[in-house]
Amino acid sequence: MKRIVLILTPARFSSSCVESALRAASAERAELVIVFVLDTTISEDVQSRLTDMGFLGEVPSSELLRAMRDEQVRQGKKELSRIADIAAERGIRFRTEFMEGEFVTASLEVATKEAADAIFVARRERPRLSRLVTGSAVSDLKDAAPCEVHVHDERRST
Amino acid sequence: MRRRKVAFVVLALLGCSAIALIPTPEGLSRSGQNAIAVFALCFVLWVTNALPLAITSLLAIALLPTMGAVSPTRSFALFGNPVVFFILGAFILAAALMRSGLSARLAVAFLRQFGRSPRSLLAGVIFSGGFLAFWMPEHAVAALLFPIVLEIARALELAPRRSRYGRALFLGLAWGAVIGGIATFLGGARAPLALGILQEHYGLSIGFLEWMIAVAPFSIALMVVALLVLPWAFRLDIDDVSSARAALDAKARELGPLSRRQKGVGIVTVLTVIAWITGGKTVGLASVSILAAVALFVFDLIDWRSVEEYVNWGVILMYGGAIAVASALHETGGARYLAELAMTRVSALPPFPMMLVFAVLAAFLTEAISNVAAVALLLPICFGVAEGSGLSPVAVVYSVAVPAGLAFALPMGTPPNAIAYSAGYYRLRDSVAVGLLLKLAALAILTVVVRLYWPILGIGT
Repeated sequence: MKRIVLILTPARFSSSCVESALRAASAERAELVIVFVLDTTISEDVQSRLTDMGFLGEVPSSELLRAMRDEQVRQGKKELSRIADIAAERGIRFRTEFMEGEFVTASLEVATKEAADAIFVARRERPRLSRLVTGSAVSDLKDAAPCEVHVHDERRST
Repeated sequence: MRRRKVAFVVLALLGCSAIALIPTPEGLSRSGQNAIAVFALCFVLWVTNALPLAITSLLAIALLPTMGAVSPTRSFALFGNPVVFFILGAFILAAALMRSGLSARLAVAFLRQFGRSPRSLLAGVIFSGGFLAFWMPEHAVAALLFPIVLEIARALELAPRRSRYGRALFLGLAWGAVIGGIATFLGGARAPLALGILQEHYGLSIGFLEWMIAVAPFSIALMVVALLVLPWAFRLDIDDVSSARAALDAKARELGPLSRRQKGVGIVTVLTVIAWITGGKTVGLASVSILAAVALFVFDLIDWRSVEEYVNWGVILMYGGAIAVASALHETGGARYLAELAMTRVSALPPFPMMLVFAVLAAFLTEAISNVAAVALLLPICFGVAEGSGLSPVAVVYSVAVPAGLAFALPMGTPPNAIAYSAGYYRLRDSVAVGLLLKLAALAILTVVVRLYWPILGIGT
């Protein structure tokens, strides 16, 4: 049976990406693995801004990170359950998984473990210059993935 | 990512070496050329964040004497600038406000006055962030308000990315703190940094109250504009906020009665602000700041461990280094040379349009880089441009340092934006589109302020 992995993160969301993954799984009678990656790079980035630019100490930034993480876990679980409901309604065989770690590493890990035939992922909306200067995690994933990666830009959907 | 950072460090070092090794251009001294080389290195590293800001400053402090731009004694002496000690004391005071829980109590009490309608609750978020940022760093305010606003969002069952009210609420959290942060010397260290550079260059100063009178009305006007822009841009999609009000009431009960420590910290803070206002110019802002920090220890309102937990000491390195680079540029003539090279046309402008050019440059540069770095990079050059134009150095400080605090559009501009964005309730396009609108509104108001209000206070020529 084919296996399609849909990767969701707190920072990357595209309804067209979710819809495409659902359609592909339905059309190919594939199993849909819906993965929410709690991307630690986001919170690490905010923390480094708070300490390097804001010069706040360990305690306020840790308290902030805790609040941020709780919210992302809550949102992730809610999103997984919402997409799982749609998949169930359409009769798609699915599984959900919650992971925590760096986006590219976690995505590659799940793609390898599941022997995925395709990965569906949304690309964060960012200025082109910023992508050029700091690079793109989705591009890194595309380069290293063992299967086809379908990228949907966040801008095109709500 | 690490490879990119290394590449930027190499680029910065190559740029610095190239500038130092080319033949000295006419009209520039050898030491001025070396100061510009160090400035170029800082420019690349501060803009790209390839090294922590404070480490770049530390590198500059060491490179300035190594490359012969200034003497070692002069370079390291700039760490002793009074502004560095003012910032140190202000951060310790902010640490006491956070550690005692007084800041969280004030935020909840303030918000509870507003939660009668969606618009009023949004006003509460903007104004509580704004007014708290009058008295403590805006980054700390955003970090402090973040869990409270999250609780409000949960109580109202706002859907991330989908709820228009959620977008307005989190942008209001970031922008309230950002706008409030420009009103005093306590909201962010860019104004004290500008003051430190002003003191080193010209021996001039700006009083705590003087700054507040000049900038607080602009800050309050901008908060009102933000309150008008957000509901207009997002057309609020909820009618009832009673559940948020209940959550805030529960939060207030959870905080319990005012503790002895909170009362003590409150009294010390109020007395310190009064002392800054009344005696800041005579005894010095830094002396008041340090005495306030000592008072916190004398009355057992904070301990050293807490100070270490709440303050990142890199702050001293950052500001000492930034003042050293700016001073080296000024003293060696490097700033004047750069000004002639980069802004020849601007130096021919009359004072009013010149101030607007500085403001626009600062307002847009701060979107991409830390606002402290924006001040550190722009101010020395703007001083050079303004020399001989009739525009006073004090006016240059206001026209650079005030708009340098107004980063609305991008998460990388300032920590409050990054914090609010991380909640996932709005997307980049929301903050870019509406943030640029607010930026234009801010520049329009600032134009009126520069033209009509500041001249009444003697700020201009």
